[in-house]
Amino acid sequence: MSYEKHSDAKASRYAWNQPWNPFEVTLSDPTYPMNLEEKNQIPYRFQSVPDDVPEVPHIESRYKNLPGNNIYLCCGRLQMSSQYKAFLISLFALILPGVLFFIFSAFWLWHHVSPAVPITFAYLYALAVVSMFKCSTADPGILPRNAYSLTYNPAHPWSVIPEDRKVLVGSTRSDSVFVNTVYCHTCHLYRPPRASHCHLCDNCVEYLDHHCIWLNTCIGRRNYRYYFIFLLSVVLSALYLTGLGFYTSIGSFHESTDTNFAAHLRRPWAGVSFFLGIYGALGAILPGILFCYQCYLISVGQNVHEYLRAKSTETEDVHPFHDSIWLNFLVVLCRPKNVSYVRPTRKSYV
Amino acid sequence: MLVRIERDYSVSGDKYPQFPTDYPVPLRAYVNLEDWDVFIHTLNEKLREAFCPWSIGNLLDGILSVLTIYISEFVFGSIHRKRIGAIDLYILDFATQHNLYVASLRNMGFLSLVFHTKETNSKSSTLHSNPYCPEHHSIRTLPSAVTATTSNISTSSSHRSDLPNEWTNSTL
Repeated sequence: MSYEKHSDAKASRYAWNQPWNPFEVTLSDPTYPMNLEEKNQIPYRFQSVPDDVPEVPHIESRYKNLPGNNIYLCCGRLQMSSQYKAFLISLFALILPGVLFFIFSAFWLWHHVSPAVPITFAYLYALAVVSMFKCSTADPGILPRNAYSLTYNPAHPWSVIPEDRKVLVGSTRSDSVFVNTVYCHTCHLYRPPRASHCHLCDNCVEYLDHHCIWLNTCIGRRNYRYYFIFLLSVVLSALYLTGLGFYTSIGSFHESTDTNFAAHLRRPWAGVSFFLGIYGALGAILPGILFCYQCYLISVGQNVHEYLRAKSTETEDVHPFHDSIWLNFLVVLCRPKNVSYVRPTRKSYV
Repeated sequence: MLVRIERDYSVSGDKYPQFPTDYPVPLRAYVNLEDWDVFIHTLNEKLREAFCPWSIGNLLDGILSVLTIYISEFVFGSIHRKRIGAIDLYILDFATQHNLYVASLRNMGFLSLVFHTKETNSKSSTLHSNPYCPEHHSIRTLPSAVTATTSNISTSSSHRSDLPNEWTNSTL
């Protein structure tokens, strides 16, 4: 696991203390013109580039130069936060019932009930595991840094600290409001209305819902659908596992010649199935509460960060992004997974 | 010289990025009014098609990826990425035709459209701000000031400096 943190290249936190060199071209300057060589092939109509094009240094691996507390695996394809102990606990809590089910309970269910029962559980379980993996390793929507780099303005020499701006949202509606957009001094950009800076990952994330320590990532715009599908599939799998576990233990007790249920639980498939039933019932409580909480917040047109900030700062609770309940669900769950701003692929799309 | 056109949140909110259709005055020597109108309206339409959650391509991509345990987006890719690639090429083509440099929209996080002119004697940054900033326009030109509904008046009771209050409504 390669964990590299370039603390020397990290931008200064305070705006008045950053080095100012307009002639130095660095990788973290997104305002520089698009590098055509990055696409690995220059289209034919762009081959006649004029001679005064400035030379852009070759970018070997962009993820190695990204600031922030992130761990990159598989040459930058997988990304997660640097606090991974809680993630290992949640991964173990998810893997354990699946292994026990397919070792002890699936054989009895396959032969005594139907082969479709373990197959459907395998599908739900695979959806939960892969959703967890996709959610924890995807880019949550990290905004690129230095989108509004501060430059010295000789006409206004004291305007180096930018003030907050007001952005009008919903001008065609009767409840249009001005949403405050804050300048992030760490990332040097004006954050969009629903973005926020995660201090654990040290990144500005678009549509930051919350930072999940159990999934070791921020839940943002790009991975919110994975998070929602993960919660839904975990709840359904746990309830399904509860039913299958109790059914296996009670059904095998009725089919056997044992007269005592407690003595019957000493058989491996019966005991483990009973344990899985209890485990599934207890395991469905916390994701179920989280799922209901997320559904409530989607229905009122908010996310966790906006909800908690509105409660804590005692400001007016405005909902500028609330349309209707079903339209809110459609917007949040069906919006496309945007391209990564900080990890663009080199493949040409056209 | 950098010319920055900031994103416009007034119509679509955070559903899909849009850019204001005002003519940027610092680009007067490079782009005329008709070319800019065609470019910015086409760009807004392309961005709406690419980012709208309820378009058919995005809906099919989302449903198919969940049903196939995300194998389909690994095998087939997504129509959204193809559209973003086309948008990037469209912007690059426009900039090349008008002798400009342009920063990639995805490198800017779709927050601003940055053009870079080729003159080297002036390196100042010209910020073409959003026309809906209250420090650039008076409160009377806002459409929310014209539609004085009860929710609007009740909303403005605690934000006196941002939204039109009862005194401003009485003078209109």
